[in-house]
Amino acid sequence: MAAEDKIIVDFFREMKSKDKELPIMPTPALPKQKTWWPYAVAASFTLAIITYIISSQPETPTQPIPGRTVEITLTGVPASPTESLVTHAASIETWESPTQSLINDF
Amino acid sequence: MTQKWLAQIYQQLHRDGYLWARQCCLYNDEHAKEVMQLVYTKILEQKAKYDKRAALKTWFFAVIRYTAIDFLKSQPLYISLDSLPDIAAIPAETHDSPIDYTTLLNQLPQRQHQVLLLYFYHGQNLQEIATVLNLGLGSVSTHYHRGKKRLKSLLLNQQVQWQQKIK
Repeated sequence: MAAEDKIIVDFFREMKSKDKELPIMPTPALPKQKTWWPYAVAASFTLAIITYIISSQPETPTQPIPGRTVEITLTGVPASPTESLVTHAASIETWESPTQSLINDF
Repeated sequence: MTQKWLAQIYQQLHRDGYLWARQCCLYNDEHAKEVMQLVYTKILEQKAKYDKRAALKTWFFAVIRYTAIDFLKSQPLYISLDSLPDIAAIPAETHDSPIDYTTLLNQLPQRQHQVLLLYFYHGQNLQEIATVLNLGLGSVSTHYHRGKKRLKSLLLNQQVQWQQKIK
């Protein structure tokens, strides 16, 4: 550093030492970080325990009830192949004229 | 990641940052506090992101400077007459030292003022100063030399005046 800068260096050094007396504002509080991993660990741990408990239980064997037998018999009447097409039987005999009521009244 | 940088700034750069904010706000403490709050909010909201292109201090100082410029622009230029009695009631500052730093530095053009502060007070090199002030290296160098010359003459004048006062 050049000797001619000394006056400036001294000036700023004094300024700095004077500024040490200045009250510095406190740092604002840092917002708390949202930590998600403890919840994830706890959840997976719980899930693992539940899975272990379920898998460790012995399966209940399905045994037939002694002395009782249920028989299911399916019986069916064979239908004619055209039965499903006939929905109304003898429709010509029950036909009634739409103006029949007029004839009866007069 | 933001929290990490912010924690580092809190630990290492808060004091320097506050002093730089104060210098950018023409040595007004209240304004400096407001600016620092705004700076921290900017960082937390990730409006100002550190991308490691410069040193953390350089980036932090640049954010402070830009925030201070915006803040000072938003302030009213004139003080209402109602507040004048309060101002008059404030006791005049006593100067133990023959040098009044702020008055002397305020006589320099703003660029020279800031370049000298960053170089001599905050220990930044010219390249870093160029980043903080968003200027070219050549321009910073010019401000640096002119500022030094001018401050030196101001200091010598001040010393002469002080010595005459003592006599």
